[in-house]
Amino acid sequence: MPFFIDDFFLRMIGLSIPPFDMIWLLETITDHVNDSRVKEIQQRIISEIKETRLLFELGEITKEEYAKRNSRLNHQRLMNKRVSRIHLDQRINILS
Amino acid sequence: MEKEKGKYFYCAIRCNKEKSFGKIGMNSSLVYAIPYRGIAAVVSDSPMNDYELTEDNTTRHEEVIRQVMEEHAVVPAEFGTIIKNETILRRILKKANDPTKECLKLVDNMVELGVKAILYENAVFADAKQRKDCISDILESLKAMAKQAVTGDLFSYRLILNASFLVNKEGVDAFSNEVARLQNKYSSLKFLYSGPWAPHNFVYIKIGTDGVEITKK
Repeated sequence: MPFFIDDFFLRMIGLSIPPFDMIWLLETITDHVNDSRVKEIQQRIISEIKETRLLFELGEITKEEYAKRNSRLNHQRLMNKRVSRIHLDQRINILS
Repeated sequence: MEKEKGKYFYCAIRCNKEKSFGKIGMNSSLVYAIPYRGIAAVVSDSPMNDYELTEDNTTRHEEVIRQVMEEHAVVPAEFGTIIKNETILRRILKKANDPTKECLKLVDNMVELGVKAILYENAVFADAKQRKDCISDILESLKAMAKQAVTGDLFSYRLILNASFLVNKEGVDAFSNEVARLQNKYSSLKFLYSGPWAPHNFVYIKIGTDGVEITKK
């Protein structure tokens, strides 16, 4: 509710109330932290996919094991991607 | 409702006329070249879908480029690049004409070769200096046989070197011999040697919201 009043109403009529600004600032920081976390997780999963491929090419894991790990990691990657998309859809801030 | 058809963009080549490469594209679609002032975009018709970065899809993308490479020097496009229609594609070719020609000149008669040096499971270096000297020796020996080299990310703690080299087609055998020599020299390391690839790590076309980006390293 405070977010709604601050961003969609007060800012539209040119008013700024410091506590609401602070809430907006905290929300923005939280968004950035979450965004970096999702990117970091995505990078870690991609590295794991590459490492799994490497182990397969070295002959240290079997084709079945490689397929199993690869499918699990790709599922994780897709889920993580979906989470980041949902997050973006929710947070379209048109006034700032 | 059927999705609108776009053009899946594989790579750019030097070519003045329309040309077909057969049904080797994504979803077994026909791959053909659309020419514009000395260069051409190698494309296939495709729905405006997001292609997932799966092994099958990337292999298919790479196979098309590899086949085109047999006859032409290529500037590869980023995986999953789909252009809405031919008019927009021609506009892109017009805008990117000069940088693409420059890139094609750089990679003419060249291939990319990949080398990874991996520590065997229980092998370790005596100290950091020994590790550094070993990496530098491998890199310098291989750089001497190549026109250019770039290093990639070390995504595993056992991976001590991940590099790509731009090598003249006639120099591939000599390069392979050098890799074999290094493999004999460093018994605690396993070398993974791959290629020839399209020069993805040296020149590429990326089309995004910021416009067309032609990268030459």
